[in-house]
Amino acid sequence: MRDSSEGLDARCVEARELVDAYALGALESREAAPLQRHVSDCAQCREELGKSQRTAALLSLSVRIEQARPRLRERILAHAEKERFEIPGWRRLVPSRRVGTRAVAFGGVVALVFAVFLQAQLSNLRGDNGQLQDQLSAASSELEQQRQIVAVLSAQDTQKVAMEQVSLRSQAESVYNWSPVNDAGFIVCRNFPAPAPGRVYQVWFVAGGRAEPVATFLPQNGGCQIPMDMSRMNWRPDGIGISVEAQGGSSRPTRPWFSYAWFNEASSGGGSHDMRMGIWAAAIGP
Amino acid sequence: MNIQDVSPEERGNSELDDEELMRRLGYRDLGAFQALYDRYGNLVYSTVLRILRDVQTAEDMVQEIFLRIWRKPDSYVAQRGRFVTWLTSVSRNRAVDEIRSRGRRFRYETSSPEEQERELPTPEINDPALRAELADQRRLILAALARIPLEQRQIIELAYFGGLTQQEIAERLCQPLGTVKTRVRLGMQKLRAALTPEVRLEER
Ligand SMILES: [Zn+2]
Repeated sequence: MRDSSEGLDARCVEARELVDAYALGALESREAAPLQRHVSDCAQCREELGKSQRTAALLSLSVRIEQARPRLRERILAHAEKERFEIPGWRRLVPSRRVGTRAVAFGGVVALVFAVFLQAQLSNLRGDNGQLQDQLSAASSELEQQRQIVAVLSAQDTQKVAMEQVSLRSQAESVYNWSPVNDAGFIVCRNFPAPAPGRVYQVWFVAGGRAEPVATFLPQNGGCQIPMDMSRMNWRPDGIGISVEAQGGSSRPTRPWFSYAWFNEASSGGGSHDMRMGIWAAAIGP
Repeated sequence: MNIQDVSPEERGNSELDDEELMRRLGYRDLGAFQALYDRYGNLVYSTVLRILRDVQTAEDMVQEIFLRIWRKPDSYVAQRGRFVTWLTSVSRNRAVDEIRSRGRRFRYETSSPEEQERELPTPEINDPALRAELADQRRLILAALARIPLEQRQIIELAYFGGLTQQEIAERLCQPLGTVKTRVRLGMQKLRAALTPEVRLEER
């Protein structure tokens, strides 16, 4: 296969780098405008953009299919019927049988070609893995889990709290994202050192003298993404902490915080390091 | 009733292809509109619900999208691509525009327990609500998504369903912007390869 950038105009190279992001709607408008201008003049880049857009559009088919309520159908059809003859410029036309037949025939060919292609793709999948159904079930449920995370990260109300790292030498970073409307939170971390053998990181919600375990994790390549469902919690935490604990997790934090964040200044007790550690100490009791 | 007594227009709208149904909308054919809704109503609803995450708002948007098609069927141009691709793009874009324009003022309505129940993940592979052809495409896209690395898939989903720009994704995931851009391109390339026959043939 020819390298896609070979023999291309510099503006085309630039455009090709942006088509995927554009198709996903992920460009800022100042980035999108020059691309739009370029594809209006350049047929090849327009073609590339078209491919990306068709791919992106297929993503909609990956959503979990929900049944809309029947009354929505009734409502829409009633509106349509009411407006039926109110459209400005509407003329009652008799459909031309000849054009109709051609349109059907053309549609038929496209559908057939596509069906053949799909069949080939599906048998390809089956060839790769006889357990296609299992594979797809697993993929689908993993996608759904992933989507809970995406929901928190993209919610308009998501609040981002940078967590503080206790060790001054640490390169570690972690951020707590919290979406009140989703009643869910999400920790992202990077550059977390691997804990000593037999130990794991444990996440805690903290309020006053209380620390509730949330999750344990081992970073992968220093990174982590920890979703937290708060919908069944009947209390609101003042902060969140991560400590290193024995494998399997502890019922209370037994070590100082590795990193932590307090959700508002009032609950940080003035914000001194000692106060924070004091809250931690209270959490584990005498 | 003898089948011969029924005119071709009245006989089974459900058997006509999308493009023909759209053409008939130009003649104010309510039956064709109904057939299109029955074919794609749930898909459009699921797409916008996925983005808006609120039943009421999603229903209003489905109504807006379908009535817009009813009013201006020529906004779809058959030469530019398949109807379902156009419809899902329109639906996604409309829903994302909505969350962006509402910005921080946007709040979800409190959903009823049944609706919360509906939000729990339940993988459905053979969904009877989708026609066989769409169900096949759904399997393909799910398999393709399952095969691309998690970090690429997540970014693609944040952009497409979350309506976030690459810049916003980089901020929220604590990743350098360059990494996000690379992952978008790699992930989309792999999806394209998995979904486009020419590319697959060339790879062999
Ligand atoms: Zn170009």
